[in-house]
Amino acid sequence: MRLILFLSLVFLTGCSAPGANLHDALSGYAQSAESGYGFDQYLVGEALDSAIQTQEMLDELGLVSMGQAEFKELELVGKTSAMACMDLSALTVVNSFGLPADLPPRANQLAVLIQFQDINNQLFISSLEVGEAKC
Amino acid sequence: MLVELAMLAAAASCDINKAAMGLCGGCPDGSAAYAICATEAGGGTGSSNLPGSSNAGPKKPTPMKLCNYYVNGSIDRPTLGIISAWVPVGSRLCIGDEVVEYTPGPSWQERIDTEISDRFAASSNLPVAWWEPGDETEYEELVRFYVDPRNKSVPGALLGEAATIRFTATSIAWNFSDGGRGFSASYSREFKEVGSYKAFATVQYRVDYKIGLANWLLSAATRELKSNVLDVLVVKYPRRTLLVG
Repeated sequence: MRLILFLSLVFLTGCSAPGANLHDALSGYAQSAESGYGFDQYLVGEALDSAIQTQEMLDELGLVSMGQAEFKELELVGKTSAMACMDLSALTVVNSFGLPADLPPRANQLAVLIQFQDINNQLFISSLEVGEAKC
Repeated sequence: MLVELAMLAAAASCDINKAAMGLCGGCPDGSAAYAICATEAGGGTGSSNLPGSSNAGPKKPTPMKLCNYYVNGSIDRPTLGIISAWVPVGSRLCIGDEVVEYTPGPSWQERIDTEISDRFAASSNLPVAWWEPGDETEYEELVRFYVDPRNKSVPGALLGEAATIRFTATSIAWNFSDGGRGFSASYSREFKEVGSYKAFATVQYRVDYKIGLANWLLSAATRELKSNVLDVLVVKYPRRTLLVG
């Protein structure tokens, strides 16, 4: 009985850890997106390329991203994938005059599919796909 | 420029800033507070005398028929000989065909269904805050804080009609780093302690829009924006005692 209980605890701990680490990775990524650097601490592969490319685009256009995105309702949907609701309501893109940039409208809350990888016991986001659906 | 951005956004993975720039996913279905999305569905008729001008479905083999006509090419001026040939159906008249007098106009009609979508977006100004005297002030002196919400009205067009989106400030809240709060565009207060403080205003905007000659649609959305952050240095100036003897 003790063995079963022990195994159950190990199993539960094993399940909750990726969620917690992923949340840390997403929070770190949101901070990097605001500051414009340090992406490689949280992202790899396609996600890292995309973030760097977008940052270069922002720099080129003289735009600055203000505020942080927030990831809510994080839910693991596989061993290396999760769904979340990305809340952009606190995030504004402003031009060099400090005024909101004239950009296409977007929803404040978007459903995202996140792919992640475990590299040396640290979770890295490898892909972030924004779905059509709001959340 | 936006076309270039949209093309770059077509890369496989998205990211936070790309999403913030509206370059991930599709149309937000009007959920953004500062955009009007509209779709207009309608119908019309078009006509054509050209056979096969309809582009419905995959190309099928041309139907043929055995056609008899006189050597001079006609079906009403007989000759000694008759030509029999396989010809595409409808490509020419053959002996025995029923001849219908030509009347100008469409021989067939096709209905063209159209759906036109349009979007008109506008951004509000950021509220601008400042304070007097600015730079620094002495403790227990009255300090005045100001914020200009910079209400904005943006003209544009939606589905060919004039449209306007306007942002009107409805409430203002001052937030001070010592926990103080104020609720007017021009707010006065004093600081009891020497030190560095930060202050900013949060302005709530009401978004209205108008299309064509229709009335304003009020409170279509609300949006809250923070002003620039002010640094307030509160000091104590040295006092000298003047002895008069």
